[in-house]
Amino acid sequence: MFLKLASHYTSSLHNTVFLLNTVILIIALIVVELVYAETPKKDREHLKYFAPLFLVLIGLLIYAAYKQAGVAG
Amino acid sequence: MTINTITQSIKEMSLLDSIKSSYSKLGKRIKKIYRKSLATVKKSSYAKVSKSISKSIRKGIKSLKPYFKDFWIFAYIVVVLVGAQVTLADKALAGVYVNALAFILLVGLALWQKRARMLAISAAILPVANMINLALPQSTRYAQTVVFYDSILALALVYRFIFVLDQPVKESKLGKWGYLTVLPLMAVIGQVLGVIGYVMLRHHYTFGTTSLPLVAACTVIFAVAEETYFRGLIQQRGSMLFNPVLAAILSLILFTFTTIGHVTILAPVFALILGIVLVTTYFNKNNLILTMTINAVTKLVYVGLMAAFIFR
Repeated sequence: MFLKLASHYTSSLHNTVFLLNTVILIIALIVVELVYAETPKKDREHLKYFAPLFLVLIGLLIYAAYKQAGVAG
Repeated sequence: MTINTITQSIKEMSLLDSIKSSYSKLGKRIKKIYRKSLATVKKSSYAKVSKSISKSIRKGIKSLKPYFKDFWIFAYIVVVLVGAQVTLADKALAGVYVNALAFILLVGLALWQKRARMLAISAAILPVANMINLALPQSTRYAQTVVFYDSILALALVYRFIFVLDQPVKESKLGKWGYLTVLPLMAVIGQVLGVIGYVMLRHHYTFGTTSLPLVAACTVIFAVAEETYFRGLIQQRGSMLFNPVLAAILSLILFTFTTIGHVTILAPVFALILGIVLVTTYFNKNNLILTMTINAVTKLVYVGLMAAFIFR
């Protein structure tokens, strides 16, 4: 009836998610730097499609940093 | 007299023998010729039949080709997303890794294949919604589900807007009378499905002690999110890339496998039944309002029956 979610949530699960999130963002930066750094603007117009997804991932990274700062504080 | 008759009879006998032998020879020849001709006829008929069969097979394959255009993209998306969902449902920690890998693979497909870009990005929404859901833990199952559905809905709406700006689509618009006549029918279908859902899943209600009116109010949002994503993005963008039937199957498979869990097998079975109705409706009418009506009424009837018979 409703979409299913992961069965249980642990702190190690959250840490893994934030870690993988960071890895994905680093991979994205490397790809952009290696492949699209010197391509003309016209040929990289399609990158705008990826913006919302990566904005969400950046938001999650900021949230993780905020949470860590909260724990440290 | 007798000698003469005897010699005559002997002569006749020998003549008869010779006639007999010649007849038998002739018979053998005829048999041979018959067999040969039969073999040639058989050969030619077999050849003809086999030729016609191979021709029809070739024709069949040719006619099926448009249906399976870009089938590998279909298979790629199905394998990646179903793998991620099943692993996440079974072993959460391994599922997180597979989910991240699925996201990378889908973004890679979107970068690599220009024609599959919109569909691949649409498919990548699901792993991102899973990541949001896992990164923002909530105290109850209900709150967790709300976060998951809201992230899917927000991303699906944003992408529908972006994609429509670049590649407009034709949505069928029913007139006032069209909606007046069709919407009640959709509501009836939704009610029937809701009853089926109640019969199948009455022992597997996931929201526990959360207030039922609140759940009922949110199920409408859940239905809108599901339809915007599975029909409004996956099926719509899929039908622009490959055959609409294949796009419908893709939407159906993803819809079924996102409800998979380790508690009951009935949830994906019911999702399959509901998915077939929704996919067929969108395939025929190309209208999200109709599918949203069916889905929302199904969920509302399910929650209503739970309130009436289980939680009273």
